[in-house]
Amino acid sequence: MKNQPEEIVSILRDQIANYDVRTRRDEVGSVLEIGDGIATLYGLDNALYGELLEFENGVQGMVLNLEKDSVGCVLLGSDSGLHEGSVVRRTGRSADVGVGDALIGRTVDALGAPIDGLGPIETTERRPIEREASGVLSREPVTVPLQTGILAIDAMVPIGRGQRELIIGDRETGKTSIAVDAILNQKGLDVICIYVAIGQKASTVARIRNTLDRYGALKYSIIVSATASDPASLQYIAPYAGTAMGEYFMAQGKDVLIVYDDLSKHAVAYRALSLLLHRSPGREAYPGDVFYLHSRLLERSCRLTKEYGGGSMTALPIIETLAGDVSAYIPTNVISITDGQIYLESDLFFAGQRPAVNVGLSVSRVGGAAQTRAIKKTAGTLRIDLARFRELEVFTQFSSDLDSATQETLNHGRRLLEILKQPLYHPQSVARQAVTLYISTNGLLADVPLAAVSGFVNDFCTEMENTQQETMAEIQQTGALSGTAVETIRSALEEYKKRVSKQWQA
Amino acid sequence: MTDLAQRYAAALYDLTPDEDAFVHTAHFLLQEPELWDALTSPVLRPAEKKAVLEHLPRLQTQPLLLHFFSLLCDKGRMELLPEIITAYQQKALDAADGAVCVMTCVHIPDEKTQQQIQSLLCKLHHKRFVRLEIRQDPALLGGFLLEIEGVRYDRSVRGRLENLAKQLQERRIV
Repeated sequence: MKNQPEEIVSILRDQIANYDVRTRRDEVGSVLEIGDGIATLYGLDNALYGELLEFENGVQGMVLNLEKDSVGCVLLGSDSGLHEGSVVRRTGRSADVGVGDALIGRTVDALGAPIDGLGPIETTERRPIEREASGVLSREPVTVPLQTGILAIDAMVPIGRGQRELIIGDRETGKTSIAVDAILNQKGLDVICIYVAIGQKASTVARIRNTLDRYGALKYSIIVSATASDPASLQYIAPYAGTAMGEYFMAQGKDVLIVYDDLSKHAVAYRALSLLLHRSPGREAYPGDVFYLHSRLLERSCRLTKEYGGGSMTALPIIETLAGDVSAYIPTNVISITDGQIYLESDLFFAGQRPAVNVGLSVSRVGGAAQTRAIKKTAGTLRIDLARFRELEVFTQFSSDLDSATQETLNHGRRLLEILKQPLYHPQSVARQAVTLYISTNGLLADVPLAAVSGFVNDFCTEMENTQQETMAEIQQTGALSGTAVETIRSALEEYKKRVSKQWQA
Repeated sequence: MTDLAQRYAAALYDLTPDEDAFVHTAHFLLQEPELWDALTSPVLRPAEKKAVLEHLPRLQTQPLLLHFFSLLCDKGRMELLPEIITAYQQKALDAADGAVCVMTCVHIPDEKTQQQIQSLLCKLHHKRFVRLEIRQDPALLGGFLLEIEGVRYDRSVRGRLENLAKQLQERRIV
């Protein structure tokens, strides 16, 4: 968008009118050393930690080291044109990013500049990227569910608004897919979604953007991108910039879902910066404050009391493990910060169980407090049934003669696993989940052939949506499963089974 | 400026705050290429360097400065002398409650204007006096630039044009 002619005229008029009056006063320093995205500066005696500096080529930098005779600064852009002796000036403000409604639907870099080719973004205010987290008194307990639309998660690892739930697993186990499905499921629920890509391939970010666009999720989402080709400084500030954008909406009383994909790469970028700033390397060469790097980020996600606007920010940080090692340094750090984790296993993934959620190791510390009543009621025995199934499954490998009770438990467990499988980009509504869980946990699928369970349940739920709209709407709106609804489900199921059972016999 | 140079300068200033004597002698050493090479050469032993210093007429009447330069030779720190001079001058300036201002301009202003600038800077920076070092730079197009104690005052035409361009840029890209 070009400047309007009247804008240019007004700027020029202002400049002419004040020509003799204005003297620009800046505190300046000079570059002593520059390289690898780090500049060591002389002067700037009054520079503050985290302050933005401006170099003579227009690039900004952020102060990260304050020493007796020099200032260490990370460049938030290219160092081309800069050399020893280049002048740098203080801006007097801490690193900040433009925030506002205009960001919704846009893809921006870590500095808030648009990178989607859709023109400039007219933001209404600027917020510092580093901000202290809300205090204890301004926080509200997490009691409102945030539905991800993924049955395995909503049933057994429920997430509430204002919670931090970690998604952890090896590469290619479906971590990003879970986050994207959670975003897709927020359609029509008045939740602003922010996807922060840190150190990802640009093609991956483009693919995610296309997916969100295809399913209409871009209308309520913001993508903050600091790809692998961006400097470590931009990868470092990207999650904080995304959080600042989310805090703008949270302060207005809105609910926000923010995904950090992924914090492992964020820690690696911070490690690179710290080593270049000559900070002492600690365990695995990470700096000593790598825990604080993530704790101060994730503590900003919370649910606020009504006095503070009543908004919430739910965080889904993603951590990539190596060979399933959740006891490594960064994973254990983030596990201890978050309010639970969704653990994805490669073995489950390759066995066809997708999403590959390890129910045993996954936990939500908020638990049933953030679960709709219908799901809580119907998913009550799910974990236990699956645990029992896993215990007994081992026997099937060396014994063919099992008693009927064991067989029944195994058959029931296999059917539960089947209903937990869910295709990509197909989040399920609360009503659908409630129906699915009711019929499966109550053993009503025992007579359905195992291979047909998934299709049967899916088709039955569709049938319910088409023929029992009132019941489904009641479940969706109230979040509860009334006695009448249960009767309706049972009778509809019986009728449906009679119709389709002939196909099984064939 | 290294920490070491500042420490040497501070120690010397505490003993002999006579800026002229030290600075002139130090400049003399720097400006004689053969003498300077000899004093900074790793080949010569400190005793040989001290013998050279003792024979300099300037230093024969200033025993404290002779001791100082001999110490630098002993410690192998003679190459720090330029930085020590700068640090010493800064200390002298601070002690006299003064400051140096680098003024870059297209045309050198007259005496009256220079005095006005000096008095304004004294008021702004709470100094007793300000020494102007004037440099010419036609690239400023007009006006002048003042740099004093890490603060820059830009009243140049080039600065205003850059400011104008930046304002137009910022309205286009938020």
